[in-house]
Amino acid sequence: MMKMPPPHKTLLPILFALVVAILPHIVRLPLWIIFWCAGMWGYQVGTLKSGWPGPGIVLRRILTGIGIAGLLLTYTTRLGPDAYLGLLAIMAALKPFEMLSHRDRMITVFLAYFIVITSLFQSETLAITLYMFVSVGITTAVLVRINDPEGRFSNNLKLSGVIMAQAMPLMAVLFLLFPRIQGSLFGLSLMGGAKSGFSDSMSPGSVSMLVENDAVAFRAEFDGWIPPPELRYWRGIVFENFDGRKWSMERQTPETTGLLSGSQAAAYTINLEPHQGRWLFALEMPSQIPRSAILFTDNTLRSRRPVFKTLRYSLSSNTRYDAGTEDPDHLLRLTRLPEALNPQAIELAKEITQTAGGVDEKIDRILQFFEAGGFVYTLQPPRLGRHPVDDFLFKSKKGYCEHYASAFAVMMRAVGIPARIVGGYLGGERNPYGNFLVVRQNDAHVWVEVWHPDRGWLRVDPTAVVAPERITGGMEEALGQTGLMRKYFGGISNLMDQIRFGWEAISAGFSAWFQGYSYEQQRALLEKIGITADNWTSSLKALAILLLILVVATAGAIAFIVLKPNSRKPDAIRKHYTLFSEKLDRAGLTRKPGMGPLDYAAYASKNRPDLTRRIMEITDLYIGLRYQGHPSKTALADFIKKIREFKPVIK
Amino acid sequence: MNDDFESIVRQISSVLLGKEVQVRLALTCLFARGHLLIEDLPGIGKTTLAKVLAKCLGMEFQRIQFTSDMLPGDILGVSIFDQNAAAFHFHPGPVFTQVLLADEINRATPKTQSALLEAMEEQQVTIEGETRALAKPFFVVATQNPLEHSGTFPLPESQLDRFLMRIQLGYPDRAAEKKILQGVGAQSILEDMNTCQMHDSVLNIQAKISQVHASDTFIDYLQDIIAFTRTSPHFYVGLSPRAGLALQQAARSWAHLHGRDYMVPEDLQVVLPWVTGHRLRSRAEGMEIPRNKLMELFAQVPVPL
Repeated sequence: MMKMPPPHKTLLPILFALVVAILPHIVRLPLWIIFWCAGMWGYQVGTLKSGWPGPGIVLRRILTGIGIAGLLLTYTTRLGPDAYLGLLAIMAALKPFEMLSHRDRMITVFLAYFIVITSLFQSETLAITLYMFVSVGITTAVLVRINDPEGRFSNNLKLSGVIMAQAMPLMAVLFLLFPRIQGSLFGLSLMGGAKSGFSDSMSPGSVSMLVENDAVAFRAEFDGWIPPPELRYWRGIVFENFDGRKWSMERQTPETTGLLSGSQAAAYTINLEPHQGRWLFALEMPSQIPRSAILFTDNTLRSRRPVFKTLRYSLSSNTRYDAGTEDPDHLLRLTRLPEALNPQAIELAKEITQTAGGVDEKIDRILQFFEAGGFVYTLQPPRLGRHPVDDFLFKSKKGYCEHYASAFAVMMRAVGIPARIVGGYLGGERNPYGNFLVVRQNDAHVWVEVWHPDRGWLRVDPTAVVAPERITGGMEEALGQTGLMRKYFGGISNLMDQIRFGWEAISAGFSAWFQGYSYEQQRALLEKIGITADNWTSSLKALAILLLILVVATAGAIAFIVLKPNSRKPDAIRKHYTLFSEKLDRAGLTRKPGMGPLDYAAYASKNRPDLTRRIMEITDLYIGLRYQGHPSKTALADFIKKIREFKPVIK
Repeated sequence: MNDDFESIVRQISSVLLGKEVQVRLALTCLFARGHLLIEDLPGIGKTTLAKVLAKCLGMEFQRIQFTSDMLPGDILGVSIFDQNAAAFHFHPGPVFTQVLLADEINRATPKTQSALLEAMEEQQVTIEGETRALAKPFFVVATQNPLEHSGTFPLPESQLDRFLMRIQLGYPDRAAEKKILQGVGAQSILEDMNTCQMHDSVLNIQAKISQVHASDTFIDYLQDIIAFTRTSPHFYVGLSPRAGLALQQAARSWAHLHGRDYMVPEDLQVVLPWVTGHRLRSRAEGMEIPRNKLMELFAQVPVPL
């Protein structure tokens, strides 16, 4: 029967572990669950410190019911990972009320572990991963503590660290060999909603949501030449259908050999953060594509499976590219506009280009209209009405890439030039600590492609005309924010940039080496050690074999250490007593192996009366350390010191 | 040093001249709750040693001279019908004492021997279905004549094991014998001898001895010794676990009587030949191993540092 430790020895550490575990989830949890947790845990501290009465079994049941009801009301049918996290949080808040037995405490600590694990549903960034290590360390220390409530917490932490260090080799083996499942785990969409990326359609406001998000979209490592900012157009998705308000995708057919030829190639590898969709980003225009990608007729790439995990792929692109061919029927469709919508815009386009000769001139005239028309680049445009393009061009004149691209494409189509909208990212921050660009969600951008009868598809970016800084300096510059930042926080800002770039570089490495370790990399590794893993079940077999070897080897090592007969570790006492007898040996006083310490001391003193006092001191200390029950704390240090100082003169 | 013990040793040695080591060993054996077997020729002072021990420690003393026609009842006691009371009345035998001298134990038949040996082991006797406890402390000093073999029943090894120690007294040295001849250690002194001054009762000392600390290093050494008797080609059979416990108990007693509440290897080394002498036989001759040879062999076992 285990003795019950006093609650103050375990309750506070357990609450601490729970708070640490739940902290990174605060943004994902609804506000009421955060208050719920804070309230329950605060009250539990109160029961401990001020003796508040704890709730009885009936009240606990009612609270559980309220919690689950609240959860159902909050998440209704969206029982995704967020709902499970909410359930864990509600239960973790209530469980400490009934920590009556050892088992209850263990369960509560395991709840903390589960909460830590749910971080993996959210994101696998370097920061979160490091935090999870800290969190697991603290939770393990608390687990140690509830089994050893009298010890000091620093010792619990130390043991937890040792346990985690011992788990490292197993972790490495599992990381390298545990089958990488192709597709998502349990078929779950791990994200609650679309956190990032684009959707199948573009309606006003969809890009501005991305712009407020500075999460990393992907990182591109270049082999050599990095294209200048004005060429960093990352193509992702093409919208060809326009219903007057919303641009949407056409069903395209995959293309087998349609890669465009060109020049000024850049070779690079992309670490794409998961976005749940299938589109892959590439610099315009891709010239070599990875095996895992499919090329479509509109020169966009798609993954064979939705990107649920960080995806790493290598490709190259030609930043100058030749015209392709296009089906005339298809081109005709790209000049269509919905009838009776945006009539003013159509009228205006025709008016401006009336006197223009060729396609080039028509494009130029309309661009000039945007340049001189008094348009303002802003992320907070006013709402638009039933004719959004008309409203934008003639009333608000405020907007961002989406509005300009949309209006420009409509005007192009109005004058009979095939036009479509391309979505993706523009720019990317170059990291001085590595040859790579970081592209963030707020680099999201749309632009226009028009068909030139001689030169094929041309990229036209009307936003560049209105806000050229957007192209060269990114979003912040375009909005005039960085200028202010630099003015007021110049020095600090520079230092912050350095730290940020350094962190980015480490994150990029983490992303490339750990998150990007996928089924393909694992297969390559297994092939190197001679295992052909055609699918993930054969790598499971390889894992089983290696784990078996590991277990047998560990068991063997333990058996060797434990079962080795008469294995006496040379400890400090033994070492120094040996040193002592060696010193006497040099003075001609040899210890026979069967001689006990008292006999040896008597023998040595008899022959060297001058040493008697010191020999006796050392022997007393030795006997105290070896044979007496409780040697004093200083005895060992004293013993070692006396032996070091013991220098018998050889007669 | 344990002052009480030293004064007892001095006092006994003033009667039993020149036998200080044997006196110390006999006391060690007594305080370790063991029994003592003395193997020696007649007239060496075996009886004197037993008597003086009992007298000095203030214990009751009884003596049985073993003969071949002796029956268990002669040791344990018998129930005799009392005509006046019209009932059986138990007459306790000489075993109901504190110090019992069993002289020439090998003269009695095995049946009689085992009656005593069982009493030694169990600290109680069962006579006619009734269990009677023996005195506490209960200490048996048995003697054997090693030379006379005709008409004797030598104790088998299993019975020898009941004795914690076996000692020899040997002839006194010349100086001691001179004193004996001068009448210094005479019987007369024994008669006049007073109980020794002691601060603690025998039972208390016995209890304290059980508390003497055995460190890991000490137990390592003891185990090395036991393992040596089991693996060395010199011995016919190794020491039993009971012998190991006996060794530890004897060493505890020796350590306590010499003023320590923990044991050092020397404590074990001192009692070693006396505790193991009657328990080990040489493999080559099947005979007992002389004490010098035994000590030489054990000196090969290194003391753990």
